[in-house]
Amino acid sequence: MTDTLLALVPVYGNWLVMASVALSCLALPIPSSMLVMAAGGFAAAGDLVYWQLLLAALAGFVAGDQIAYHLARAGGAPLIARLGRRPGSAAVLGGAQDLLERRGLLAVFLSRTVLSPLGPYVGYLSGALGLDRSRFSAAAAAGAVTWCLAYSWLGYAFAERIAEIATLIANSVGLILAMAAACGLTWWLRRGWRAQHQAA
Amino acid sequence: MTGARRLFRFLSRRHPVAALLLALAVAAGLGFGWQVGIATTRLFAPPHAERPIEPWMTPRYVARSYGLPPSIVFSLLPADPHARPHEGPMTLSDVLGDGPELERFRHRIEAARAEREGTSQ
Repeated sequence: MTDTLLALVPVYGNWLVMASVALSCLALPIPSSMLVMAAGGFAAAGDLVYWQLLLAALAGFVAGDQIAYHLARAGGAPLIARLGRRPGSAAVLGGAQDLLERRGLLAVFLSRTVLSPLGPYVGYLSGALGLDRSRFSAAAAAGAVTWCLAYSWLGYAFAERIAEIATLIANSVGLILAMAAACGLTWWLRRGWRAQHQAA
Repeated sequence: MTGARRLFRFLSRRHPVAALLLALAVAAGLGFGWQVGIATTRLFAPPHAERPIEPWMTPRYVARSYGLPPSIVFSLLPADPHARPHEGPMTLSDVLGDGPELERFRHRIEAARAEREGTSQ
């Protein structure tokens, strides 16, 4: 699997990088971090040009983020408005919107760097809950620059080890997703546990 | 009833699906964490454990990995040294296939490296 993906990078070059990064911003299961890192390795070898690769990854990231945000804003806003009219969910939604307003930019930045597997979902939520577009774009772009530089540089600096790094990245993404799911479920169960105790 | 027992009853009776999903997420996290540990160990393994030539590699990548000038690697291959992505075969698999030609190329690269190391000493 890893070898097949690695073989695609020198064949399709920067277009593959741009398309994979953009699609992964829409939550499609594409290992874009692995592809950008591998492209960095091939750039170090001279098959690709580093600055072009960086620009391609960045363009894909920004485009993908904007598409996710606007899709969610157009399609998600009516859904959120309908949910907001329900007495039970209005308070939860209000809380989520408050949180996004207060900590949203940090969440957007973190979800594009250290917690990048969560990036698409934060993008969709930001659009659906109406986070200010320019603030979202600024935080997302800062995260995108950091992410693109980090992964491409990793491959460039450790070009001889891209297969090993690719395996490490694939497992790290799995670890982050599993941890996020465990944290989310723990939080939800804990809330139910507390509610039960308060009711008793 | 002890706290642990009450928690178990709460999870198994009120939220069995969520509890199962949580157990699966924790198990998956442990599995991925173990794999991350192994991959990290391999990443920092000494250079003698270097990766052999693989079909996904390009001639320039082989040159870089084996410390050889690209001209030497391209002289051992029926490939265009100026080819870029979209312009022709890029990987060793495209140029040589995965069969005996690739194996012969591996031996030639080993010989070229040994010769180069011999002349530099």
